[in-house]
Amino acid sequence: MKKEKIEKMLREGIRDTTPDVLAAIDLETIEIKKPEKQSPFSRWKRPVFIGSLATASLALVVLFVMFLLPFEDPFTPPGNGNGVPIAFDEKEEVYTLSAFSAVSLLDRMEEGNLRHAPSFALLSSPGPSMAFTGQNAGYLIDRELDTLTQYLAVIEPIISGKDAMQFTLSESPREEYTYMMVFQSKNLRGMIIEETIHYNRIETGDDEYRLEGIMEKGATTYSVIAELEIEEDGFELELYAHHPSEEDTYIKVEQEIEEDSQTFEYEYVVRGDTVFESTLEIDFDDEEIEIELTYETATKEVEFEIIRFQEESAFRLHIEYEIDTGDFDEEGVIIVSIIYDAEEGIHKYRFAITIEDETSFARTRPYPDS
Amino acid sequence: MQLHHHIEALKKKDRSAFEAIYHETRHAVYAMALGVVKDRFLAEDIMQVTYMKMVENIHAYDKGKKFINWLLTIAKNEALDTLRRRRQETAVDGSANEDLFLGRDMEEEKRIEIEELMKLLSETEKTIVLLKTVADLRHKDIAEILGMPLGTVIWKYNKALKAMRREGRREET
Repeated sequence: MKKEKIEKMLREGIRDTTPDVLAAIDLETIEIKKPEKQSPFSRWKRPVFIGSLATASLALVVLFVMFLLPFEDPFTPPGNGNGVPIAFDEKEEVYTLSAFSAVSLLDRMEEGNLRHAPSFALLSSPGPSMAFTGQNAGYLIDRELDTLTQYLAVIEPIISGKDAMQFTLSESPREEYTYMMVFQSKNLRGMIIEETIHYNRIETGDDEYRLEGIMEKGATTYSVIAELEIEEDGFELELYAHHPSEEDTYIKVEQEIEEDSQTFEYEYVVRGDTVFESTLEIDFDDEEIEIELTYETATKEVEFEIIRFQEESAFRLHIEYEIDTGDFDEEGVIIVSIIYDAEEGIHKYRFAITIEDETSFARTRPYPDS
Repeated sequence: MQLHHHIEALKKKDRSAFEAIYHETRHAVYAMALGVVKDRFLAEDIMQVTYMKMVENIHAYDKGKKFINWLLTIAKNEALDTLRRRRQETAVDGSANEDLFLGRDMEEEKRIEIEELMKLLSETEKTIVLLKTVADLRHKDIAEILGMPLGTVIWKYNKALKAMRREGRREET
């Protein structure tokens, strides 16, 4: 039985039988307690108050130093050359986030040579030798960890939360582009990730735009072209991030944004052939972000549900997964943490995996910034 | 109208504001009560008392906190008090309510299926599962209301779902 089915059954079952006690409550007979009057200081416990006082003093010192130093507001765009400030606009953030995710994926796929791996073969492409052959081949999750690691590069900065993500728009120093958007966020290690995109914006219709730009990753420059449509309750965007030397190798992203959720649909095309399709759905709640990653290949359907949580002051990811090969179905939970391998001198992802039958084991993969 | 407007209106005993809050939260309050007492009649009484206490203490609600968390904390405390009193009474008269988790008004087959699945869970797991599925709360809020670490809530929820799925699959075969 699927998890969703159980959840739905419980939800509907209990909700349908929730008693209605509304009529039994007579507001007029209830005496509302008056709010307690407090002196301005009585609601603060002494240590909190002293702590606040110390913080306030520190803030005053910082403010004083700020006024002594030459002032430069890093968040105010410098203008577009003719003295008119460039308007900060959400549609530019949509474009940047989509470009960032597509380029990150494309870059990692190229770097890891994953375009040839079995995970990235669509339904019609692989031969029988690529198919998973049964439990003797190991756990199904072992075959997905490389793919998952590629996606974590995209997921980590987004799952850090709305507050961690910062978009700064300014004039591009490059002659051929008008705008420059810098996207900043944090990874699981708390380190700042920064990506820059230079682009032009062309209005193609009412609330329709074409955005053309470039994003650099190390020594490689990717071109990113997008068609964006602004709707009443969100955005729709179709973006292409192209491989620099192969014109018909690219990632196409279809992105839909609503108030509390974003859906990215990726299609990875290598030399004209679609080799991989996946969906990333991000649900923003006030403080918690949940990401669902799904993909389907010739031999399996894979689903990951990802939540970030904090434990002992470190951020970790809690991932529930399900892999269905038709013949076999494997489910489990993965706790992802970052560890430092002193022997190799690099950081690594540590995947603590518990399979449904309660078998537990751990795997590691190099961390991207190592 | 926004929730905070309803809360302000409720301070003046506005019936429509009360009804709006009630309809928005009643499944969550019931899930909380049911999760603790496992008896639908007691849960119904707890619901009633919870909403009365909510009105009575509406000025004590701290705007900086989530309203649903505050309301469910009232429900949880009321349910625990009820359970404590109930255990004392049961110890005296020797009677105990069983098979009262769900009502007979539910489709029989579905009722038995849910009852069987819920039997697999520990007391805490039941509460977490009901708060997550029925009340649609986030793990973080459940952790706050129950006073448990977030990691524990996530782990217990998944463990419970896993046990129910295994049982569901066994029944299917």
